[in-house]
Amino acid sequence: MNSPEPVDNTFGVMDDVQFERLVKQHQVGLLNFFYRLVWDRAVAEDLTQEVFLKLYTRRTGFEPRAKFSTYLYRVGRNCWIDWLRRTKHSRKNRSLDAEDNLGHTLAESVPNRSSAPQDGLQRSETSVRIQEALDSLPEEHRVVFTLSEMQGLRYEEIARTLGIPVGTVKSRMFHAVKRLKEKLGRTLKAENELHG
Amino acid sequence: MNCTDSKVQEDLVAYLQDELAPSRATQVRAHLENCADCRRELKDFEGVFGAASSIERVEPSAEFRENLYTEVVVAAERTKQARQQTAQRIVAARPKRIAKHSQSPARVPVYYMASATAVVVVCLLGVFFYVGHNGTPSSLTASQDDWTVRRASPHVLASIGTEGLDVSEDRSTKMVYLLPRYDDKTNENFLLTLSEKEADSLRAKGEGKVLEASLQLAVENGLVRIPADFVKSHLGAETSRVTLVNVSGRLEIWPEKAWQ
Repeated sequence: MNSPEPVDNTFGVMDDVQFERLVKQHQVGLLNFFYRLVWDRAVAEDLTQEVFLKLYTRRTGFEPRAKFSTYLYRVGRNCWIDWLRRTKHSRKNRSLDAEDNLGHTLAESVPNRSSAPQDGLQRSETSVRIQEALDSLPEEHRVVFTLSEMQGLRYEEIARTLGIPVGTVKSRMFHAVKRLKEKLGRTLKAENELHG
Repeated sequence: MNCTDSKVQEDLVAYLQDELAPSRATQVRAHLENCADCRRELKDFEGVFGAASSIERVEPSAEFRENLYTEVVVAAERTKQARQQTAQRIVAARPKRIAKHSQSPARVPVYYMASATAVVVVCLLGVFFYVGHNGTPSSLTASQDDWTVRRASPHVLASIGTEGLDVSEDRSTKMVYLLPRYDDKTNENFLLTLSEKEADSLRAKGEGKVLEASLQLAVENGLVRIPADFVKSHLGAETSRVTLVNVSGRLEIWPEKAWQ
């Protein structure tokens, strides 16, 4: 049986090798966390880098005994909030054809895993609509939904990450999903018809 | 939707995600067997999760790690320089001079003011904080007399020192080593906290009187709590306010009761 990754639970006396291991272990999860919040790969990478830089510069001051991902996403969430504040005046609602900093459009970022053209088209439509619906959520609901559904954190972990009660996480998830359902009404109906 | 059981409806998402207690999950399951409305709602919620899963997962660009490590080197150097400068400025300050009313007449008003408001600058260096949720509960119970630091930023309250001090949302308890200092420019008393190594080094050289104290700093709900006894014994009973200066700004510490 393999021993658990040491960097997952101890961070106080981390050396460069451990830091590199930590980056490898969490970069994709963190990048996708940000991507689902900002829908821009370049910005998501910048925010991911910001989190790792903060972890690195504070590494001798922390020795978390809680699960590391809880701490990681707490720093991540704070970086996202800071970014929202910094870019409050410059952010605009992105259209489907607007390009991100790497030249990708929102529509291009939609996956097409299906071999059936009609199914693929429907998936693209669904994916774009869910992104728009997610953007319409209040920030606190959106981050809870992202951590839960997309990052796979349990309610208890989200509660610790955000410093809120588990009951609040549950309530925010319910309202987030309900709002998404309302926003996605027509798209969900089409999906149901397509897949019976 | 005609179902009037709003509690079950509000539990449907948690039920889908297997986040309900087993007994509650059984109740919801039983309700679903008899309620077409909730079954429909549950199916719609499943559709939302299905739609969310259609969003692609992105991979870091080829240069991501290289860029990160370049930034790490730059940030590490910048942090080291900032901490060294701050530490040098503080350590260069004169030994603590307790304000006394018998000082020269020209200085009396200053010291009256100092004793009235007792503005004390505390620089915390080399304190290691234990982050997590396994802290000793007794260390987290703040009395009405405890001191509280107002939050300065969403996450980090303070960051300073040769070995770094970070205060986050978490909870900490630590033995600290203190060197009393006095700043001529601001007429402020403050306590410089040292790492154990720095304290040993100063003791060996016989430079200043290093105090040793078991200081419990409990961070809860974004606020740092400092035992009032500690403030009174090391900074004086008249102290009503402490200002903590660090490389990223000033934080004000007030008695807990002052907030109420």
